[in-house]
Amino acid sequence: MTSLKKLEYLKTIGIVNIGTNGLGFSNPYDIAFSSDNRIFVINRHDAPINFKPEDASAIRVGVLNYEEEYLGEFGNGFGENDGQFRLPVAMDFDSKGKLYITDEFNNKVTVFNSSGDFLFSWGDYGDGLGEIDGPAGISIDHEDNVYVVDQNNHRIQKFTNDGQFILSWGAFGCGKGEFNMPWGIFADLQGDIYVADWRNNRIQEFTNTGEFKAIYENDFNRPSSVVVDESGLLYIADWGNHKVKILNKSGNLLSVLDGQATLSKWAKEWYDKLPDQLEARKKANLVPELPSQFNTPYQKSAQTEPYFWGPVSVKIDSENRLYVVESLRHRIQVFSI
Amino acid sequence: MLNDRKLIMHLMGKSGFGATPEELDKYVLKGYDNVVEDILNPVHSSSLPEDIIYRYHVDIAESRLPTPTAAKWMYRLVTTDSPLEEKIALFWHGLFASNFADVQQMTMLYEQVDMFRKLGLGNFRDLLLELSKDTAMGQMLDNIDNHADAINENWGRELLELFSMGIGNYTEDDVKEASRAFTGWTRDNLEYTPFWPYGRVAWHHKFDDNDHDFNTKTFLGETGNFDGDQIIDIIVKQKATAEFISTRLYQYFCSDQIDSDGQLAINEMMEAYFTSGYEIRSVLRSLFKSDHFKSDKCTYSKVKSPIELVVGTVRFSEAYSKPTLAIKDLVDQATFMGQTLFQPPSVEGWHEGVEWIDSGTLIERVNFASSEMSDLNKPGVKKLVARIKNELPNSISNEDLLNKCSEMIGCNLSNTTKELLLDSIDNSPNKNHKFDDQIGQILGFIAATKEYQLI
Repeated sequence: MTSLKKLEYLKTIGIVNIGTNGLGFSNPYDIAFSSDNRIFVINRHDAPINFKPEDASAIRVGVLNYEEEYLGEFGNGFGENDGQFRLPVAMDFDSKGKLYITDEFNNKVTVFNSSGDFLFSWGDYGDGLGEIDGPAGISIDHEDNVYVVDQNNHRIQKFTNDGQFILSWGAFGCGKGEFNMPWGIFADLQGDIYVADWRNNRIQEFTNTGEFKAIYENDFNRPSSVVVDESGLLYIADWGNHKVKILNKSGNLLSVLDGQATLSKWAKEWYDKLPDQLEARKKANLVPELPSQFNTPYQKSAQTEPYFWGPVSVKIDSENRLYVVESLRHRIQVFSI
Repeated sequence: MLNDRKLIMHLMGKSGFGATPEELDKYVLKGYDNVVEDILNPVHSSSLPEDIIYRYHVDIAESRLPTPTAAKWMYRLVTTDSPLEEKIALFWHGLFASNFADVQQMTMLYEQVDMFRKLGLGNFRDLLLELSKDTAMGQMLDNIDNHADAINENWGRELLELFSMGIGNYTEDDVKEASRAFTGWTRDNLEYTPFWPYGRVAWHHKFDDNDHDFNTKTFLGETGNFDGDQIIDIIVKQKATAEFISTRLYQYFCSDQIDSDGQLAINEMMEAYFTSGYEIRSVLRSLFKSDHFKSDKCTYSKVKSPIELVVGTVRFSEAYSKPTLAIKDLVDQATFMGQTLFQPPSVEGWHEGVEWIDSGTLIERVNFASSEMSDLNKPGVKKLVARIKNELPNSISNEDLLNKCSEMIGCNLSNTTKELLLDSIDNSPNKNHKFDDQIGQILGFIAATKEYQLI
């Protein structure tokens, strides 16, 4: 298609680091930006199935900056105690600098300060008002209301920033205002709420009290995340197609991103120590022609290193940069919008 | 001869992983021959959707390591509505054995199994051709190191010895000539196999004509400018190939031992192989519809593999219908019993039959099956208990109850075993007092018997 919205690729951040702590990512799942421009990244990590006690702390939040300095990390490893995670999904900051993180296994929202100290958590499993089953996306509006995607109850719940239930909307279904295992959520500056209605292959827009406003569809395959820029353009992580799509408010498709990752600063530092491997990479065809049986979005991305593979989250920072978090390539691609 | 219900239970056990009473009800209405056609021709098979699995298990989505990838297959095994599709994939996985230790690329090992799933009941020529191009196999048996100016015979040898004809049916020269024909069958980006910086990049087949031996070859008595395709054309038309494949299918789907009646059934399978143009589906149809297969001597004639035991038990208990971290436990259980998916011990696959059983693995089998089948919290066990209660009259003996429970899970208990179990049942059954617990206890007992280990 002709691209009606050009984005400039800026850089790639990340390197795979599984099973150990420190610089690098292990299945990154979401990203958030503090007011002092630090970048926070959830590492979901593959501990649940490959669980080894020594790996437990690799489920963590890594902290870095745009210049790719690794500043540290926090989280108390795998578990259900204070500050621990099992299956962390998403996070967002409130106006006071507190970071809220969902965990779809523990059925909790856990709150840290921006230094990574545990503050408090809430969440009771169930389907009653205020109870949650598989919390996924989270977004906090400019009035510090907290919107949580209640994945397995197929609804959105709105809380105060200390976890008091305000209201909820939605039920299982494919009609307007209904959901099928929703995932990502975004509250824009106008107070509108956008939801990645994952298994209905669409984005839905609501008022901040849950009144239906619009549906956006564009051959999505399980969209996982949505963010809206100041001009009202929607950026959607089309998870099952392994692409990012950009739509205007009329629902017109303006651009599709495949991903164009290059070596990150951390990757270059790693190759500096292993020049033979760098030579092998230089000789490789990173965007190969594939046999027909691999003509699926998953396989194309598994076989084509620069492409997005598992784009779970899209976020925009204060400098109008779009970050695409790739859970399966352990990296983040950054574009100027 | 078995009655219809028992006959179909036998078919589903051998061709799949057993059947719940509800599934059997439907199959009996269809009739045996129609069920055979249904299982041989799966259309739009359904199982727990991959998107739901990938969302919950990021490690399965990435398929970087063996356990999550085995868990992905385990979900499919325990939730598919086309069990023969999985059973035949498991058969080829054991026969064309590739393992993580040698391949180190789980995405491609899963792709290999997916290829077995898609082609496993189809034409044997197509299957061998795709196997020859399969990048995991190319790594496993070194065909990536098979060059026009320096052949590596590993793939050529195993293709003939372990995968199609069997030893004694070809010469050393045939091995060399086959190997020459497969030179240049390699993969793209052969030297680039990164783990860092961004995880593994999957592989795909490439034919490198600069590294292929285009000269004349003589193979199994035929001479020509053969490529790998023509080598496979020659292999599949050999009588030895028909016998090798039919025998292996018979041992896997019918009986560990082959007697004279069994040999006659194999002969008919060989005939079906040729008359159908090498269709595996036709070979199995010949087996499943034979009087020999339906005879008493072919029931409970095989030791269940660990995967058959674990999957068959869990399909009864219906405990894995949505993603759960406990899926790892199923992979581990099969490992404790001696079988880890994607990790056959060598290119010869697993040693089957009674070799599955030793004192250690037997305890694992008994403990797992008994615990699963007696767990009244499992939805499938709950349904089973309700049905057993519903089908029994108010006044029953311990033996009535034992017979009904064993019938429900398709386990044919010997009189000796029955006597032993009856001695272990504490109280006479009382439908008004802890009857569910008693049924659960008996189901657990049955799952711990010798007979439950057989299929």
